Amino acid sequence: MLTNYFTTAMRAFKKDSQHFLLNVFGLSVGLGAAIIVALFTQYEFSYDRQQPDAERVYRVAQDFAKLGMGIVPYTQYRNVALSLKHSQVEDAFALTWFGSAKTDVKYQGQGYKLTEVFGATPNIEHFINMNTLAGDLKAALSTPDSLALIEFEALRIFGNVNVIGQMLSHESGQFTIRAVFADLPENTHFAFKSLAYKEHDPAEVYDLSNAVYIKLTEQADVKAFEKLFDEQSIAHPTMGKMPLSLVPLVDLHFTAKSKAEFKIGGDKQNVMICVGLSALLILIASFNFINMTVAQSTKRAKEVGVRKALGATRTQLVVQFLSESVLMSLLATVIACSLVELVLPSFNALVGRELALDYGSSNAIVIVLMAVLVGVVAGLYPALFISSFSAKRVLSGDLLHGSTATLVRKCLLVLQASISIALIISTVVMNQQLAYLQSLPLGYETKGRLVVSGVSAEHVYTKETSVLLNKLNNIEGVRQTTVLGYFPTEPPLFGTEMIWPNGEKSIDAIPITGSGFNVVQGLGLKLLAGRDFSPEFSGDWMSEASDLNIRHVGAIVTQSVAKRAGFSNVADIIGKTISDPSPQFATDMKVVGVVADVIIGNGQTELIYLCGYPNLTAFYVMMTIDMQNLPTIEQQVVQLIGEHTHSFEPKVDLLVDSYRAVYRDDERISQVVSISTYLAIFLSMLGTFGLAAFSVLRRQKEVAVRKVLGASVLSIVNLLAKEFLLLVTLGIVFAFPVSYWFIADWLTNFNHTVEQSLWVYLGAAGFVGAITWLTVASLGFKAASTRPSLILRYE
Amino acid sequence: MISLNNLTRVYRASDVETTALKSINLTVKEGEFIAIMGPSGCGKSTLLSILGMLDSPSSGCYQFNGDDISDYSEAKLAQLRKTSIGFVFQSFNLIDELTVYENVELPLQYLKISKKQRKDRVEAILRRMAIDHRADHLPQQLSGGQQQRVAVARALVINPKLILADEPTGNLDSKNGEAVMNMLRALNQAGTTVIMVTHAEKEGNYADRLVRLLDGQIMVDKASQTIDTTEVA
Ligand SMILES: Nc1ncnc2c1ncn2[C@@H]1O[C@H](COP(=O)(O)OP(=O)(O)OP(=O)(O)O)[C@@H](O)[C@H]1O
Ligand SMILES: [Mg+2]
Repeated sequence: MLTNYFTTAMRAFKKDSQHFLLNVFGLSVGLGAAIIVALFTQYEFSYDRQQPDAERVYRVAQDFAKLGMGIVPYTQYRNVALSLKHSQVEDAFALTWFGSAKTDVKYQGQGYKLTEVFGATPNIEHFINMNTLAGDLKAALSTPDSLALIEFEALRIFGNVNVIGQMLSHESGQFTIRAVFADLPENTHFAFKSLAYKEHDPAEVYDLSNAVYIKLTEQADVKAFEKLFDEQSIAHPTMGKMPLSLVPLVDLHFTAKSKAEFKIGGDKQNVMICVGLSALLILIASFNFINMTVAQSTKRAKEVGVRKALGATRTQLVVQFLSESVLMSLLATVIACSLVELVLPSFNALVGRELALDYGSSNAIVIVLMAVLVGVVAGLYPALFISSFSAKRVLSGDLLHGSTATLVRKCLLVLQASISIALIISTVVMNQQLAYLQSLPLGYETKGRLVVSGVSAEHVYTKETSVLLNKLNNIEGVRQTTVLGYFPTEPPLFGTEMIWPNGEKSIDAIPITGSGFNVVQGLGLKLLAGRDFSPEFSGDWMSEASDLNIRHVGAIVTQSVAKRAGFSNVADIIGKTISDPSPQFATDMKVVGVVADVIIGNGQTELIYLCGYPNLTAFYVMMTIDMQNLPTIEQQVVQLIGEHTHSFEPKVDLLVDSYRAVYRDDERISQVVSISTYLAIFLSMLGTFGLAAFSVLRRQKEVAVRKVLGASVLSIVNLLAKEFLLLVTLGIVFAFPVSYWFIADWLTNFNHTVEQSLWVYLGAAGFVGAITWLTVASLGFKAASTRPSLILRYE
Repeated sequence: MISLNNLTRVYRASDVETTALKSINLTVKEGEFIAIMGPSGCGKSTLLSILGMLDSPSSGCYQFNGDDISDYSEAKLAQLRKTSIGFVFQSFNLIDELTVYENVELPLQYLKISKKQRKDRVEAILRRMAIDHRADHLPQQLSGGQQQRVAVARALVINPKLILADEPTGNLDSKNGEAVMNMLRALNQAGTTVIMVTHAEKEGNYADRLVRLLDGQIMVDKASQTIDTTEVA
């Protein structure tokens, strides 16, 4: 019987190949999108699940709110020892910033910069699924002056991985390579490239550079332990007590948002948007399938009648038509898989992941199940509908004219139209919002600015202009240089509580940064009152502690800071002193200038620039340059830095690029929405085309008669299109409120937002209307141009 | 074999009511050959499809082999249909997507008969209908007469007790029509009950008994030999 169903299905497909192809192709696109998104979702949720006992591992987070840094994954090493005292803790592991002191290394005279170097406790393999390619990882992490290199770095420096025992020399000695490990997979939040031996001192209390991971026993009560752990933690000698909490390892990818993370995590909201969009695409494709199958069903009416007369029950017929749609859906899946293979590389580039379709894994089963599910869901209504045909009417030669489920078809078309309209509106508003964000006055210039990261303070951050800074300044095409204590697009990590000139205390930490002379000019800040830092004023550069251990420094504050200090007329703060009372770092800051607010990251506006303040050991050199000289400037910068600082391969960025990167995540999601929108419109039009073809065929005779009676081609086309345009209009009624609500919700993610404007809504509606008209017209025009005699003769 | 008692069929389409059959009483004995005649729209096809259990009466009672089938489930009706009734239609109603062989095989598949047996029976019946050389053709590749022979073969392949034919010769020329009539006649003589709707008086003569319908009611029910041409006019 199944072969009989199969032959009937295949021959029916063949007979009506246009609709068959439209149907299969539509389903393929929908399924393809769904497969990609399923892979993406699966990948996003796979982060760190490969680590040993991943579900029992937690990372310690420390709340640095007092310093204006939020929750940060770093703490003191002694917390490792502290946690191990608890019976609920099975093991603890620390990953420690190594600093940049020894990371500029030389091999056979050639300089290299080792990036992302960490120290780690030797029990790393209890926490991270490491694949050691050569040597002994544990030995490397427990022997002084040892280094374990990631495969990538080993290949970069040595060209192969068999480098155990090789030496890399740095400024104050040399490293012995004792292990080489495979590159870390993409789906982990860990991102170290080299691991160096690091002596950990459990008695050390100042150092907050340890990421601490704790593995609890299987019976452990996490909440209870977390509370106890936090209570027992000891206050930092200068920063006081900062609350500790535990974050599950497997959640880090989505939940860890700190700027200090090893790498940028994922966004659950974005994943959900992707899932929603692919569900919409499948829905539209299924609607097409339902619509076209039902519209075409009269063609199968005779078969249904005959089969019923021959003793087929309704159930048998439903099964038959369901297996047909499942067959179609399976076929569509095969095509979808090829589409996925084609598109996946571009999608990977878009989302910055390495997704792959692996037919050997459970992927294949999931995909087949999905195909069957879509086939059954999309096929159920048509199957029930077709199998309900009355055998009597069909068989007594009484051709089926009555209802072909027009109501259902119309509803589905309305839904499709509203989805298309809503998606267009969302795309346009999202793009408007992103363009708006990027056009906001930043308070500083990004154009023609080059930033060199990580130049050690002693070489550039000095009161007297250093040799290196002078040389950098003299490169042809460089107009100005200044030194900064933060990267202009990333919020400074450092802040402190202040006492305002009126003696009041600031309620929370105010971000501060060190800066060199002429920072207003170098960053292109907008001066509202006072002046720039200048070597002409000897009091600007920070003086070492003299009287009562208080340091003195010139300060430039942003407008918001001045307001916060209680100066509604910002010029009045000039000459006043803001002070940092903390015993170790007591500082008097004399305000010399006020600048317009600067927008950093997601909108932070308060900042105090302090001339010569040593908040870092390595600083950023900002260079204002002539863009046409960029290549030679970059080359000379690298060369000069190498010569003067023994720091190799410095990181050099165009500020414009870094600024764009801030919005990359939002840009990506807006791109995904745009692509889905195109697909949705395309699929909807595919459906409209199929139905229009059917409707034109049905009204062929009417068209012919009207033509004989003298109707123009255009009036006939409009007559045919009217039915569809009416449905689009109805779609608008649903689309407008729903999109308005969704977009308003999305916009709450931002501090500064665009207004939702009426023309976007009208434009989207008009666009869908126009495309619908064109689709129908392309068919209607042909029908209306056929000589009526050709059609009427057949009657 | 069949007994209809005060049977009525009313169609309700939105607000229009059509009474297609009104208080029909009819008894059919095994081995009979009945012709149903009447003007267009008088309810012939409706009566036939009720007899074939493709449609159910609005009221009244239908007994088949002594059982009242009004409360039979759909599955049970389908079961009865596929084991005992063969249909022949005016418009042949062959499935266009299946070959001649597959069309004839179809009822046997619904009866879950083994493949080997199906092959034997289909080939035998096609030979009997002299259409075996066209077994692999699709219906559209055959002439009307050939298609109707295939349809008859499909009706006969299950060895039905009852054959229902709705204007079986309506789309055929007189020569082919006659051949189909002779076939039905021969079947009847072999013991199968035949009920046939027809427009042609001449074909009415093949039957033993003639039932005339008018506006959904039985006007005449008698042995056909006694038909007198004046009545027809
Ligand atoms: N499904 C239906 N819905 C409504 N009315 C119907 C339906 N089927 C049949 N009728 C009506 O019932 C009446 C009898 O129809 P039927 O098809 O039985 O006539 P018929 O005698 O077979 O006619 P013909 O000789 O033209 O085939 C007609 O008036 C017809 O319009
Ligand atoms: Mg009829």
